[in-house]
Amino acid sequence: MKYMVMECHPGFAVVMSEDGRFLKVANRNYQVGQTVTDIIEMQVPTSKKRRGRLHTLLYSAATVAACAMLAVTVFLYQGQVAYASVYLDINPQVRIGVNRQDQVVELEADDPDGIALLDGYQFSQKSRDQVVQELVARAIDMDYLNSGDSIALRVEAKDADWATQYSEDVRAALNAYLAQRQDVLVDVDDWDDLFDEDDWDGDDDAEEDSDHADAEDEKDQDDTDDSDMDEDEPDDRADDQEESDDEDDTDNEDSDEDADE
Amino acid sequence: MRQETEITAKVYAAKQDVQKADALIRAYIPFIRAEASRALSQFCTEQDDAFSIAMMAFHEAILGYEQDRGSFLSYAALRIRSRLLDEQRKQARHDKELSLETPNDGDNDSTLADTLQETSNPIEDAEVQQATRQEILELAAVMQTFGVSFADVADNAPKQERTLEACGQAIRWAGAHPELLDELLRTKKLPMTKLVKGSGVERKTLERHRKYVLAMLLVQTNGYEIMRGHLRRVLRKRRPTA
Repeated sequence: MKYMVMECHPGFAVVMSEDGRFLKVANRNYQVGQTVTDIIEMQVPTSKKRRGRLHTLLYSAATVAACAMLAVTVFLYQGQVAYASVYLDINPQVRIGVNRQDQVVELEADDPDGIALLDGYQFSQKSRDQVVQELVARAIDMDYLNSGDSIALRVEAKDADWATQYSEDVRAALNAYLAQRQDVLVDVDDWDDLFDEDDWDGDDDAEEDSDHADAEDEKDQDDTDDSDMDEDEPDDRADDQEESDDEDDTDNEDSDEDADE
Repeated sequence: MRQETEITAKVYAAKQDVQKADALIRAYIPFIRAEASRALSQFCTEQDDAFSIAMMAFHEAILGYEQDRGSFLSYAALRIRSRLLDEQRKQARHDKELSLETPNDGDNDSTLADTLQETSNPIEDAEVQQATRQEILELAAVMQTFGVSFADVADNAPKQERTLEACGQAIRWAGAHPELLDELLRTKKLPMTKLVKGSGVERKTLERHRKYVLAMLLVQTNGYEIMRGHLRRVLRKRRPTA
């Protein structure tokens, strides 16, 4: 390859190659107009590194921005997605979706009565308790709920223990509200007790005081299930018999052991 | 300390301005020669190749210097030393090949090149060189009216093969349309739109290498026969003969 020397500087010369390139090369005592073959090309060391540094800066800035966006998105998303569902059966059935801050993010109804109850109702920016109370108030106003009726309550969430606790909270708030309402007398029940398919003693439980219903229900259910063979004999009576009646002692002990197992 | 900030300021000014860079290099010739001698551990004259390389290394140092690299002079010294050692290593790779500059056996004054048959007349060569020089100086003067120097063109010239070929396509198309070149000389403006439309080369490519395209178009205006001969591979669409 031949290079024509175009311009000379003390530090370098500009040469033009036959294929139309212009290069900065070491000026080995060249003169303008000379044609040379052996050149040493100039290399500027830093422009690349400087660009690299800028790129690094850009990349890190972009990474930080992306992380921030992701965090914000996740945060907003979490706020909008229901963490738990509160099912309320007043007779109209409604499902209230709440997030972790106890704010209502979803509200829906399945049956026509429920749809009528929710018609025109705004839940956005309202707390769980407020929505529950307002819905009950609406139900009373719309004659869905009268004295002697009951409200069934159920909470569903991934964390079952949390759901039980949460259910208690909702129940307490609802009872506190209903205590204020002098015009109607309404009970709050556990949904499971009302709607369990083969819950034959469900009616008895429903009549019990709702405040204690939860804990005692479980106990009662366990006991009654086990005491099938005792032919519906109440447990406390069996205990009495055990103490008083020595002759029946062995039989009763057997049955007690059976019950324990 | 003040001396250091002074030279740093000069270096930063020289980055932008070739004249200032030249002046700075001239002022530091003793320093450059001393550093070159030190790197090679032998005395270095201004006729040595090593000196040319050291001068270029100093210029590279000017362009590449950043304040966070420490004092300019130690950076430049480092640059000179590493550049010279690089070239020495490259040279060593070719050492097994016989250089034309090797002294002829038994004769101290002549080299192997001298034993080759003269293919051209040295006087004629000198005349050609003089004519070429004339052409180049004329072109440089015309380019000056556009505010462009060959150093600018070198900075602006395409380096990738593909880009070079794309620019070549536009340059050839302009060569086939003399009215475009006339317009360029008359208006002192690159008729970019016509060039893009006519040659089919992307506008972005041509804009990026504007100064280069300008110089190559000017070469194709009247005169400049020798340069056109030198560039015949580019200007005429012919496969380069290897």
